[in-house]
Amino acid sequence: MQSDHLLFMKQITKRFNGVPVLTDVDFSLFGGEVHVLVGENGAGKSTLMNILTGSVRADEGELWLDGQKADIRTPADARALGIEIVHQELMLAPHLSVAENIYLGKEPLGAFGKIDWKRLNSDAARLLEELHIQLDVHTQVKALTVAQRQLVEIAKVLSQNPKLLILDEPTSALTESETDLLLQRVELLKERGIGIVYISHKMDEITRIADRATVLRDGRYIGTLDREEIEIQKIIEMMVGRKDVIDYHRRHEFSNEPVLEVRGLSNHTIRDIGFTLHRGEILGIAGLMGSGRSETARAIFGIDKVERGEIFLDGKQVHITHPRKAIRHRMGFAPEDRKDQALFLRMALWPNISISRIFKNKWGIRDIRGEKKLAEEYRQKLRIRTTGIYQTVQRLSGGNQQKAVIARWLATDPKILILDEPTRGIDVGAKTEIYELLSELTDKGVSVIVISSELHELLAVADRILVMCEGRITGELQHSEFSQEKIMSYAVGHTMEVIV
Amino acid sequence: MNSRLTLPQTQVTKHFSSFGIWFILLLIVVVMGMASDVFLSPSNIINILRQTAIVGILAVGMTFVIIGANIDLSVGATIAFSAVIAISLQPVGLSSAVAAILIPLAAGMAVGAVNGILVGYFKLNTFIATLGMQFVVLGGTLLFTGGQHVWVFDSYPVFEKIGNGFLGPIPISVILLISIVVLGQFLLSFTNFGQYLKMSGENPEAARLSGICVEKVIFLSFLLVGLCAGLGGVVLASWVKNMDPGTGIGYEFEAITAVVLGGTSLLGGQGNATNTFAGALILVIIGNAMTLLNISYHYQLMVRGIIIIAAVSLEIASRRKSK
Repeated sequence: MQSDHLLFMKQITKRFNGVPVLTDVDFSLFGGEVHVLVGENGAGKSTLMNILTGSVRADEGELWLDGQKADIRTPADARALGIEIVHQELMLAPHLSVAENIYLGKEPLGAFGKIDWKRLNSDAARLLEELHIQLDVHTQVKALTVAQRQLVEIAKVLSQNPKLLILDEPTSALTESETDLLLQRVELLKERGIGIVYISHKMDEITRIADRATVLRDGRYIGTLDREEIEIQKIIEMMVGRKDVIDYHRRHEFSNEPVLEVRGLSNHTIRDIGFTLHRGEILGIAGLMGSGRSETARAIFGIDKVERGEIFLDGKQVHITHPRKAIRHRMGFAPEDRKDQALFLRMALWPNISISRIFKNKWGIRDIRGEKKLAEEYRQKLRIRTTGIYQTVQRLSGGNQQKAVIARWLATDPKILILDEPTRGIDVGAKTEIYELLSELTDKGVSVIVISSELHELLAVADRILVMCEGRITGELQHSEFSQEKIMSYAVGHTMEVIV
Repeated sequence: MNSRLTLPQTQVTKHFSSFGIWFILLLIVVVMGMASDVFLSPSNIINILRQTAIVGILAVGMTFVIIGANIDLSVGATIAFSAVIAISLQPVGLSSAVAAILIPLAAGMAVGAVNGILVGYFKLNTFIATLGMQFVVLGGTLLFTGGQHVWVFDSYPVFEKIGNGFLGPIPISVILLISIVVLGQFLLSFTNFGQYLKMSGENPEAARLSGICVEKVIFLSFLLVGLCAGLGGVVLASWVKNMDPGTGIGYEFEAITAVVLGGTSLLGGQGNATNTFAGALILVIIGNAMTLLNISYHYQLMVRGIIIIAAVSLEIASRRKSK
């Protein structure tokens, strides 16, 4: 049965540092087919495609191409077999022309190894024509719209005559009419017999172009739907599954006293964000990657510029233009990327914990003994497992690193704590500890905002959930209304009517 | 498995790596003392210390800039700028000894402030910005002097003392240097600023998110190196009293070498003014030794180049190992 498939991936398994990211995943593709791959962030889509394109090697499993077993070790191997990918982030050289970009690194050569510009430009023009793309091949890429660049990127990989093309969220930055244009081109490629793997979160696109759709969840194969079976609700159900509920319970009680009010907050990534955070509340923010979750937190904390909108703390309007001001207002923020944005990896644990507290020093003279005592106190409180406060942070495990970041903020005695992906890459034990810590904090009257891609985490921890999509808040769920399906449908930009 | 067993060892190696430079210094002194009978003579020791004063003062300032993950290539030009101003302010007209000291210091700080604004606030590439400033300042100095030597025979007595005076057996310039080292080490180890600087150099994004005004901290580090260059210029002017406006060039390289020898990471984030002092001593002693051993200037230049390359290579090698 493998023989009539263009691609057949069988029981692919991959672990990173012993943690399985793909377990026995099957995936197949016919020539001239659009096969949509869906799943939440971290479901394993990217890893599967990285295995196919040779940038990651599978630990177990087989890969068949055109009925023959293929061994793809490097990206060059994948290329040689006719596999091409268009990444979500475009990789064009902005100062080169369209034609130069299309043939970058494989320019047609004339006599004496000189680039044959005439042929390069005419080949590029023909390629664009075949795709019905009206573009002057001499235009510099930086002058193009995102949609046009996307098309150039597709033309670029097509110049290699691929048999199999992977499109990774190609419409994430496109408007609706641009999306239409792109999808028409995808149809053209289908007619040419190219097999297309199409990764997308956008449900309406999936129903429009998919011949089949495969859902992954937590690195496992959930199922494949044929064209006539594809329904948005069904896909969402498969995406979220019935996950094991985290063994953790909160009282979900908080006061009505507003602590933080945000009104109409906007900048280049978020639009009209408005919500209220109450004393002792855990407010969850859900949304897919790029929905503006982190950007909302960054804007509130004074990291990114705010163009419009107002922020009130305890009823008083504040202007937070730098994290330092946020800290003065007794806010804390543990960012998404611990290593790049929060930790001083080559330094010991203790200054990592005490840093945000030393602003209070008189005359700028440090009380080093006090700092160390503080660090030791919070190390014990949060049960950070180390050889001591002198251990460098880069030697700590992910969970303990995260605890160090949280310790830093707790040491400042915050009223509002914003945690972006607080449990990413952390083992289950540490996760539960962090959840319990949040409960304890709210009992003491601290208000917490938790941003997370893991829905079951938000469902377990949050008292209320905001859902974001494309920079806006698209839904708000009270605790009694919590369901993964509802969150997911808001997160993909669908209103409830479509679902029910 | 035996983490309890390995811990003391790493602690020992850690201490060696933080003070190891002083052992190397001692070793060089002992070897040279045996190789040359002039080397340990009082007059040679004082000569070494006086030479170290200028490089050392500059290098302490440079330590701050490098901890902030930047570099300052303009200090050599700045030191000459400051020295030339100091000399031209010697007894003429309305000038005074205080002015002859303060104005060159202010000039050095002004250059540092420009660097600090360019690199700290405008986020210019630190090499290019300070390389550009090197030329701007050198040009300014030449313009100021008309391209001529400047000299003075009778400087203010107070001013004269800075480069040539002694307190007991110790040259005043050396006392100045040691004060700068102590002050620098104090700033680095015991003040918020020192900690902010290390963190800004280690991870500027995390520093900002922790509430540190990274721009201001970087600006201040350049202001400090400017001040040190200004002071170095005053000491130099008082000592030699005869300046070619181009003399300063090359000092930036010596200062950077001293900092690297002192174990400060060129990646920023960590560093130590006391060890920079040892680095400066080693550098001057090696130069002095080569002169005593009659090694030609051409070889001396090559040796200096090799020293900095070797020091940086060692640092990278040790970092790989610790990873």
